Amino acid sequence: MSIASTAVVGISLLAGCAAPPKGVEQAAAGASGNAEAASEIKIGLVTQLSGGGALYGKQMEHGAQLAVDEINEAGGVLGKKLKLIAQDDQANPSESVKVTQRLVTEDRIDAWMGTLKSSDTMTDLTITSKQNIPSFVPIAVADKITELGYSNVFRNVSNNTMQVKALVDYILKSQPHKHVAIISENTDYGRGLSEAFTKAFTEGGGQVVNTEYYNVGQKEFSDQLTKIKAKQPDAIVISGLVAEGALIAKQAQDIGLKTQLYSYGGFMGSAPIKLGGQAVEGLIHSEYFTPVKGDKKIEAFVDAYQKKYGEIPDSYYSAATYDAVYLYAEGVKKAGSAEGAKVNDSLRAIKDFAGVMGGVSFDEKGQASTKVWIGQIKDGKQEVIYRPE
Amino acid sequence: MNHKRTLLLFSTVLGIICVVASLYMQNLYLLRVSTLAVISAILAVAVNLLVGYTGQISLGHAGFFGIGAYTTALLTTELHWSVWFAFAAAFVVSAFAGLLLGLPTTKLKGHFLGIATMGFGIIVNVVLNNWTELTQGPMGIRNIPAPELFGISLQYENYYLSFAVASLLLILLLVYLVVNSAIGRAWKGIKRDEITAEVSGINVYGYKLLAFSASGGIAGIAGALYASFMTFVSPETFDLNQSITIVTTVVLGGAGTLAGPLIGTGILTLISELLRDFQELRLIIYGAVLVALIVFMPQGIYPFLKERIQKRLSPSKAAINQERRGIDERDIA
Amino acid sequence: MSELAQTIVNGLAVGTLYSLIALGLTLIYGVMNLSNFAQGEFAMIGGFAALYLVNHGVSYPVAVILSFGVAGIIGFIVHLLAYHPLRKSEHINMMLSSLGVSLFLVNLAQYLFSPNPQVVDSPLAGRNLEVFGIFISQQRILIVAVSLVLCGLTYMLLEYTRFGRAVRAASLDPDTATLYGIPTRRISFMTFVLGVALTGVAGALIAPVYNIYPYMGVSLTTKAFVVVVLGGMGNVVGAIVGGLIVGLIESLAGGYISSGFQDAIVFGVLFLVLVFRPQGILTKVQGEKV
Repeated sequence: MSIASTAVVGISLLAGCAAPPKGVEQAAAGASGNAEAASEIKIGLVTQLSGGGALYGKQMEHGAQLAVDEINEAGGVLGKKLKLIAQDDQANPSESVKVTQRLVTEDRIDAWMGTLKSSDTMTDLTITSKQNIPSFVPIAVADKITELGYSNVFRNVSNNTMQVKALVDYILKSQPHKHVAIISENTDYGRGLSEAFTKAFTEGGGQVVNTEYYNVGQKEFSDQLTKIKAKQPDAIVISGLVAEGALIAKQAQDIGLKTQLYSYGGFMGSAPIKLGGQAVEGLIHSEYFTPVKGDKKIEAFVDAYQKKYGEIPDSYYSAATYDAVYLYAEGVKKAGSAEGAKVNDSLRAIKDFAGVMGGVSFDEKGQASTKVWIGQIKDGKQEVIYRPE
Repeated sequence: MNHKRTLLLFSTVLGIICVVASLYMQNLYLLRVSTLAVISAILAVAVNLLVGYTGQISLGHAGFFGIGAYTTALLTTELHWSVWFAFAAAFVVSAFAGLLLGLPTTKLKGHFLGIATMGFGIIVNVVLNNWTELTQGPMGIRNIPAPELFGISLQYENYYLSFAVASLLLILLLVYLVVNSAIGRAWKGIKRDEITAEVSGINVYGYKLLAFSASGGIAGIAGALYASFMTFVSPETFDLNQSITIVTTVVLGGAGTLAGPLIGTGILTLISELLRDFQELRLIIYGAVLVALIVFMPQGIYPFLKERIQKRLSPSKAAINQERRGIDERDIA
Repeated sequence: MSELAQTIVNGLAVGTLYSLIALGLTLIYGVMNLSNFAQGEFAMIGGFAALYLVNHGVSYPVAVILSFGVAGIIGFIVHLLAYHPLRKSEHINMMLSSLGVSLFLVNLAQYLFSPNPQVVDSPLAGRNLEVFGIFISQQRILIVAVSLVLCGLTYMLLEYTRFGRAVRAASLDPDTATLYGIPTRRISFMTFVLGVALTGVAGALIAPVYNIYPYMGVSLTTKAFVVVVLGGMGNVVGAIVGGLIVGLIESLAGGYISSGFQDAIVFGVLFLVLVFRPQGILTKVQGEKV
């Protein structure tokens, strides 16, 4: 009996060979047919809308939606309306891919945007690149994303190396701190930042006296901070996001560690001040976007966002997706069609597009070179202390 | 016994139909959901061996899942082994890990075993995350290849689903054979009462180790399938939440039955997809549903339904079965 | 040298927190035979209760006291709906039910309060004490003090009051206790409520140090389990001492071996204890009834 069943199972595996030789690639045939016929141009957004990252994911969604609404009010693109379809990936790689696949196959999106995590972004891009769907990476900063060799990837924010370089240059040029300790998140984000920092800083003549790693969700940092304190650094660089970073700052103060604190984009906006209070006063960090006054484009964006969502877009999560949507619209306009390959070509040709985050030009890998500013938390507020030309 | 044979034949034929039908599916999204569901089902079958048949607890099965996945990932990307050999290796390594876990924990029961296995799962997760020289840590391992069968690469989603379903079928068949053999009887004896089993001459220690190894090995295969399918693995997939999900699946479906894990996986996947649009309320509902199911149907959905159907079809037989079961479960104070 | 001393102080301070949470867990295990995987969530409830109260003008100390009550009340409801119906069922079911409760509570909190971390202001925030070059924040001193006091009070409650004796009887042998006229069902409820209320206070105390967010309880639960196993399931003194030991191990492991592998080391120790002395370091060996 069992031998028979096993034999049958074996035969069925062989039957696989007789199946239609077409693996489920379907090539571009499926997707491009859609572009001309539909009356809407659909942009899929994959990010965290629940869980720990929802704070940022929601900002991404709001920024993109604002841009979509503004463009639609002005008549749409090529006479068609834009539509944003946002999906939650719960910070889970299988989920992220599943949802991206769903957007591509079920919703038939014309463009893709996402995510908060570099590793998930890279996995999702393997799906969108199969159909050559223009994909925007407005938030994830790992260098590798634009090194994958895909022709449909566009990142309108500086990558890790650029961000770190800006901070290192600033510290070496304008600050007296030569011996620093790094406390870093044990993720691709944190490690990427620390490695880039150590390399650039030591090349510039500085010294990294200690590097400690912590896990996301960790709350107790006294042990690592005690180790760092024993090495007596001039400054501490926090390679991580604000949830842990604020606690690090507070607990450093608790054990009497009074040094200059540095960090990266995670410390933009009002969250670090709310969470860290007195402990983050004086902290210096790299900046992608601050709602400063004096720049017309930024002011218009801030006002519109505040009117629609009741709060100020204090960080780049919303500004970056806002710009990305506008960039996409520009690409489609120039290409004269929403077809993937054409839009990708016209996007790559964009030079000096004026976004809220500054001028954007894509290089041949799809990486834009936007300006990185340096900000500091002074008197409970964010201030820009250095703006490169 | 005729009844059992026809059921077996029917299930096998149904399984084969599923395998062949998968080849013709073209909807990429559905294919992806289904493949992940099949992999979850295999995990559930693995845990069921340990929890359902042998009466142990495992809150750390994500550890075996991860070991299988990473073994496959490393062997194919670093040492360029053939994917089939890597799959076999994944089974062996995970089974060995199961053995290692079983060795010190055989005398633990109930809560202690639960905590020990939870600890195992956490230790595996921490090692995967921090031993960056080997595992690339949180950055994960990419470009894991898919196996090739008679020259055709199985990387296409429909082929892979077919392959996964066939694997599930094969595993189920093997489990069915083992469970209905002397080994299975020994396991069920251990589940009922360890001391009685020991006294009756069953080598409790040995059989427990066997259960741990087999369970770990099968979970390792699920890991191998996962790695090859996703082409990417990272430690975050193999955490406590995953372990808890697997156990939940088994208990909901009905531990100790063959169909239980399958039904459990099917229902949870369905709930997951249906609630996708209520993303904010989804996990709240999930938790509430879980508690409700456990309170009202603690033996699992499959046995519950079976009982109901039996009651309708042949009330006398159902009554006898119930009384038989009642005697087994009553605690002698 | 002072680095070692600082590390030890850090460890003990965190340890008292673990003791308080583990105390609740061990009480519940002792009486109900339940490994409550949702224990940490009650700390989260305590923390959010404190947040809500402080934001509405209640002073911090009063908020801490009230969080005891809030956690207790919610605990009562949870027990009624998710554990009480399962008291006659297999142990694994109550454990699974507690997992469902945990999932439910965490996500409900996330839905109601948003997943962002939030700050609870304590009048002691930002102030620390320096003694011989060792620093400790005043908030942590408060945590240590309150934890020790509560642990002491609970111990005395169990040893010297009628209620305490009833609880101990019920944990030893619920059937015999019922025969003696002890209302085991009521004891069950009350012990559970006490257990989670203690954890609720712990949550309110750590809120200013760790900031609160819906997922904060999860890691506290796993740590509490390690403590309870170490100290002996159901052993109150064991929970208190075990908490300090785990806090120390964690600190020393993080400071001298590796920060990344901290959790693995703590669980490694757990494994060793489970293998060689499963009843816990402080409990006497008890034979198994056949």
